[in-house]
Amino acid sequence: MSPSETDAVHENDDSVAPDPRLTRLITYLDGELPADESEVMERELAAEPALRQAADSLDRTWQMLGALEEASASGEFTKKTLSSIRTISTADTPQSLPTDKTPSRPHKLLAAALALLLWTFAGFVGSSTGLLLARNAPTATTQDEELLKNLDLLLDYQNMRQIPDARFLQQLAGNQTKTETLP
Amino acid sequence: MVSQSIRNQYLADPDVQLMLKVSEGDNAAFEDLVLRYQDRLVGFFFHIVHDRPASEDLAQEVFLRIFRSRERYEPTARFSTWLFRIAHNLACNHRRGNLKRRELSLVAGSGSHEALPAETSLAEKSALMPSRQLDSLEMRNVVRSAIEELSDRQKTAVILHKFEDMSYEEIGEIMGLGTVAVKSLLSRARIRLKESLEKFT
Repeated sequence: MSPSETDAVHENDDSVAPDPRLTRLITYLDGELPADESEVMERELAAEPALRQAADSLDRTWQMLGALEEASASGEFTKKTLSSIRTISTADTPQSLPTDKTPSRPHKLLAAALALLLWTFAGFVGSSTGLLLARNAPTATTQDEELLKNLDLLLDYQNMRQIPDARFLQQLAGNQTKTETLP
Repeated sequence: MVSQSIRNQYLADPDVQLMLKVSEGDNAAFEDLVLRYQDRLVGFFFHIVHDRPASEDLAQEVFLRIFRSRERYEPTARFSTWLFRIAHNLACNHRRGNLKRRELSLVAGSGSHEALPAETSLAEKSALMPSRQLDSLEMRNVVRSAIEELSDRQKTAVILHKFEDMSYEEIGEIMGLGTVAVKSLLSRARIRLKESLEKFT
């Protein structure tokens, strides 16, 4: 029979209901029967030799399990296990010492969250300020440059409107020069 | 999140208290837990796998899993129940792995797959002459053969009940069974053991 077939037989066995009376007896022997049912079982045991014999056989075969070899941890086991733990512990919290108390996870998470919040806020403030400055900074356009070049003219625009043409201005400029040179 | 009433129920367990300290970063508390449970765990696995190095590897894996889950630990059961639940799962995985290896070796045509030829032969000899006194080694082998005839679930229930002195309820919590199912499982196991061993008593 192959291993899987053997296990299949065992699994089928698990699904078959055992003798209910034997089950009750075994439950009693295991100390798991409720008090009132235990009293009933004790009366049955007192009255039925076959049941007593079955109980005795069940008990003796159960005790035979004590013949099985027992094992316990070797001398190196504790040291090996704790070494493995320290590797995990170091990987989780690099700064912590094995025997020291490290900050608890909620505290670490809170500190990380606060740091993230502060950085986010600082970043927001910085970028907002930058954006604001950039928007308000004067930018020189071609049109603005022209206006700046003719600023004097513009400032005196109202007077300049009276002048008919450029020739008049040139004559005016010529007369002014003559006046200035007269003694 | 575990309700406060469930949490409080298990706070009286001193091992739960130790584990809560571990979850807060107290590795010395974890060392205490290892020392308390290492023999029981190695013993449990040895009854299942019959190999000391493998038993220690499996026991160590249980402790590693417990340590890895320390930060999200919530006391929803007695500590021993939680520990043996992990052990039971590992034992099941180990068996499945061995089953696959045995099936592969069958497919590969490696011949006989009898697990314990020497012990079986000894048990057969003893069965032919049940009235003779068995020495301790023979008795051990006879009992081991009888245990090996149980299903994996029956074997686990027997080991937890006999060697860990666990109640039906605790066994059920570890194996994911109701109390009635555990009762039925143990009943079948003990009846089979009786049939196999009573001629040697």
